[in-house]
Amino acid sequence: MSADDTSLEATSTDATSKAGGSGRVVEVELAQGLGLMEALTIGVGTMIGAGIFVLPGFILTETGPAASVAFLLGGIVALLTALSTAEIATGMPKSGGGYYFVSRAFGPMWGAIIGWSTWFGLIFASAFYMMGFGEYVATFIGVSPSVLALGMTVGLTVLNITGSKGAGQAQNVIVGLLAVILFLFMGWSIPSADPTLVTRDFAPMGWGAVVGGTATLFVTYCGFAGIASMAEEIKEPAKNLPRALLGSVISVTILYVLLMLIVAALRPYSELGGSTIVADLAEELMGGWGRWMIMVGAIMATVSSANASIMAASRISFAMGRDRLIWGWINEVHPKFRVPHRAIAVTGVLTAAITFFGNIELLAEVSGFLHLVLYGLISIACVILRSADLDSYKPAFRVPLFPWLPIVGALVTFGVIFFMGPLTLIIGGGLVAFALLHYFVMGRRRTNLEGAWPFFLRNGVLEPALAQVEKWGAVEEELPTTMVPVANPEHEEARLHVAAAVMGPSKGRVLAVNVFRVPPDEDMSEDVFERYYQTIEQRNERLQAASKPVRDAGGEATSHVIISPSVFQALLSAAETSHSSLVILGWPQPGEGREKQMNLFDSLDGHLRSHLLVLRDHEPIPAPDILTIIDNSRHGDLALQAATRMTNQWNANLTVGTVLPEDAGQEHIDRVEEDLDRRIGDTVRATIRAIIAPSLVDAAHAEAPHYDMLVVGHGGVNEAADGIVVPLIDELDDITNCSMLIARAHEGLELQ
Amino acid sequence: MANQDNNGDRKTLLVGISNPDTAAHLIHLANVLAEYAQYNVVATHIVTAPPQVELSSMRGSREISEGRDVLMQVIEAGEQMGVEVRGVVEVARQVDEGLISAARNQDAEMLLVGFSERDAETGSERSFDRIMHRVARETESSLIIQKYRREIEDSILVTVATDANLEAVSLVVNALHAATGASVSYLHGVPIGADVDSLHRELTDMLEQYDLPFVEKLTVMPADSPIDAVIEEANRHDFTIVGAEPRPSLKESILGSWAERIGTQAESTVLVIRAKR
Repeated sequence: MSADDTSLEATSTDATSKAGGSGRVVEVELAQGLGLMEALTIGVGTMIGAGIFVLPGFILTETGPAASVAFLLGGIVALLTALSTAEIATGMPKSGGGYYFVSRAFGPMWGAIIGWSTWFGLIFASAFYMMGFGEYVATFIGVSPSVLALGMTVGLTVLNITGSKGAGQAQNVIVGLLAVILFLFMGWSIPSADPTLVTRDFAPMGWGAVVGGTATLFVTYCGFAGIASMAEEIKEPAKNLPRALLGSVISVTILYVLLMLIVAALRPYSELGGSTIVADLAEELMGGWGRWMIMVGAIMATVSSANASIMAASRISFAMGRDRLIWGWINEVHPKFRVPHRAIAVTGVLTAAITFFGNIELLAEVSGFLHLVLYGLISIACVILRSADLDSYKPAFRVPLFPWLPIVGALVTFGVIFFMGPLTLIIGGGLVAFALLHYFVMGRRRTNLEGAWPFFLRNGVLEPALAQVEKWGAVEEELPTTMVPVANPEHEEARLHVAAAVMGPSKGRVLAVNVFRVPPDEDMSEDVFERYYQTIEQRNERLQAASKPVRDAGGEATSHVIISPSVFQALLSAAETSHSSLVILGWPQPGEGREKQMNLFDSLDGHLRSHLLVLRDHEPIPAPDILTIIDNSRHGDLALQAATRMTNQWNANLTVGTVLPEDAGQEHIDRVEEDLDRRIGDTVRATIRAIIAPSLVDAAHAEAPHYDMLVVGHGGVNEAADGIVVPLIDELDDITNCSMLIARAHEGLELQ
Repeated sequence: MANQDNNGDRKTLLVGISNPDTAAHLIHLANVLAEYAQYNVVATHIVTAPPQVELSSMRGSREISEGRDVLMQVIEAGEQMGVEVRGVVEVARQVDEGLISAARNQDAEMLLVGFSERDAETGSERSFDRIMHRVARETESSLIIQKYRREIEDSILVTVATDANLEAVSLVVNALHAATGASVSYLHGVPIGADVDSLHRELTDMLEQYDLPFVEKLTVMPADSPIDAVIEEANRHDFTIVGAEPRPSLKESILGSWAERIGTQAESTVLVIRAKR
């Protein structure tokens, strides 16, 4: 699979209909196999790696008994990031990890930085785990740790390339065993603990050293954000994802802090150095079997964490490939093993090369540095994404005390970086510089990735600022306006619902207008209002009441009653003077007035300088299942945008389809689906369908029974006719079993 | 979903398809059940993804396209039999996870899967494997595992012990009887010395509650080894229907040792049925 092919990821399901009817459809669906416990285990398993077996000695020497505080601080930093991760992961339509979030918030340059940083972070983490493995195993087989680390790295790389399907499954067992081993060690040690060793001189090296310790140990918290990259596999992600993220960070923090308190109470801190201190203590307290137990735990933890890092690295490279921020060849999938073997091989080779640095503490710190950069940016991404007020961003979990908690999270996370050693900063900074260079030399020309940054500036910064200025009376801001002509407010609430939804994140204004027709010879001088005052007031009140859906959706609703002898003139001038970018009309009713209405629609189609939607509503509105059938015209774009906004506003299921002739080959179908996927982008979760039918009209008739609303955006069904709207109304008039929305986009007017 | 309204209150029968060759028997049985119980038939093919890639990155892959082809063949075979089949390619980490997830996503009333007699790679006789056990343990839908040996010509044997799965068994037996006209007999194997008459009375009462045909053809058979006697009897029939063990002990397979042995040793087609949870 090339990098280009993988862009089909934009939807949760895609489907191909080969014969039009509902019978011959093959859908693609992703299995959700992970419950809360499985997700929690993955989080805990990724974090408990070599770190907790290898680093306690280093941290205790560096900080004294306050090592537990260093671990606690690490846990707090991780928890703050986990909160933001949980919000973003439940708010994005697609599943993705930290790379995905940051690239969607900041755009391609930061995406490239974070993609490379995460990849390098995982490589350094793997190297660190492998060194830990080497150090532990070397104590009882007398081979150089570097050689052991290298051998294991090669083994894991080969295992991953040949597609180790069982590797993930062993995780549950390993995590369970690790917990048992660590708790057994702690339980056994408590009687020998002397609390005064902890309390007597708690932070002998000062609190600066404690934060420095956090910088070194942060690698023991790395990886929890990986749960977010599995969102698509988690059952009820809105509920289980935040629980798994926060739960895993909290339980691991408690475990680490307890362990450090107990270890610090066993010996004076000056005697607690070295990378195998936990095993040494276990041997002293429990005898030879204690050492073996810790050895087995450490080996399992290091191997499983390194394995998880190699897997995660291949996912990162895949994700970057999708955004064309990396060479396509690196992500090619092996024809037999179905894994991106080159990406895995590169990860393996770099890991092997780095293990020869040999300085285990440095490896831990560089990995921590790169992860901290990512985590800090995740917190900022949370602020940007929520404030950008995107249509597609509707988090089920929201960080409390917003925006302060994520801001504090980012500051604390970046703060920890400043306590890292100069060599770490040089290596980490160098890698970030490499990422930037690579982006400017290669990635910038190729990527289509766009971030939410501009929306953040507009909706999160500029608009609130303007609103403030407006409050002071300095500027009158103009909101995008949708005009809804309403004849009978009690019976046309559906269109106002649609208006409220289509208004979308811009929180624009909906103008409900009612034309009060007067005879052509009516005197239109000023006292006409006096004459009809009561009727106009009544109508205005009814319009205001009917506009409730708009206000409920957070929009501004205004109403006008226009007195005019001509409905056409009234609507045209109302649309012009209110600068309405969109007008939503109701479907012409059958009966006597129909021809007149069709003439009116034709005239509006020709003269209105706004986009136009025509709605025939049918229960239920809001519609739970929406199909939009679009072509490549601007009308298709408008229909897609309207359907997207309704889907997001109403939490509906959206299917986006395009009509293909019966002789369309699979390749053609695939290409069209891919194009649709690209047009939808990240804005909504939708099913994509190529609908095989002789024409749009046939497709609409065949599909309408399966949906609650059909949104049609097409360049025209009747080429002989001038307009778009009337021919479509004619052709689709007999579809009465679902709501119907026809979109006609005005040329030259940007879609908002 | 609107398309469910369109089809009234029909429930879904999900059929797990691994390859088109073995699919024909499953679709045939699905057709019989769908006609009798008015099910919508959905065929699913599981595509597995290695842990090194995201599930969604399998889109556009050769496996999914092959899965689509398999399901299109099944859909066409269904059309020829007069049954409308919908196809779903389920992308999962493992086959069992895919089947369980597809049954949940499709809100399936019943899940029908086939179990091949011999291992595709080694050619050796297989007992129900990890996949079947996990599906039986975790799916909420009622479950039918078909081990196909031959078509129904004239006789169906139903082994009975408890009423745990009888509602589902009754549906299958009635559907098969209605479609083929085959006779149905019931068998309960007991150790020698058991009170055959009172067991016969109890079991007859139980079967009558579930609206089963030919209840008079119930035999309570004493034997030194009841299970071997049941297998021997099963060999004289075309189809054997076995209920899964309702409360399997830890030592036994989740489907129960009887189901396991009859499924692997009988020469007739065997359906192991577990009721909906």
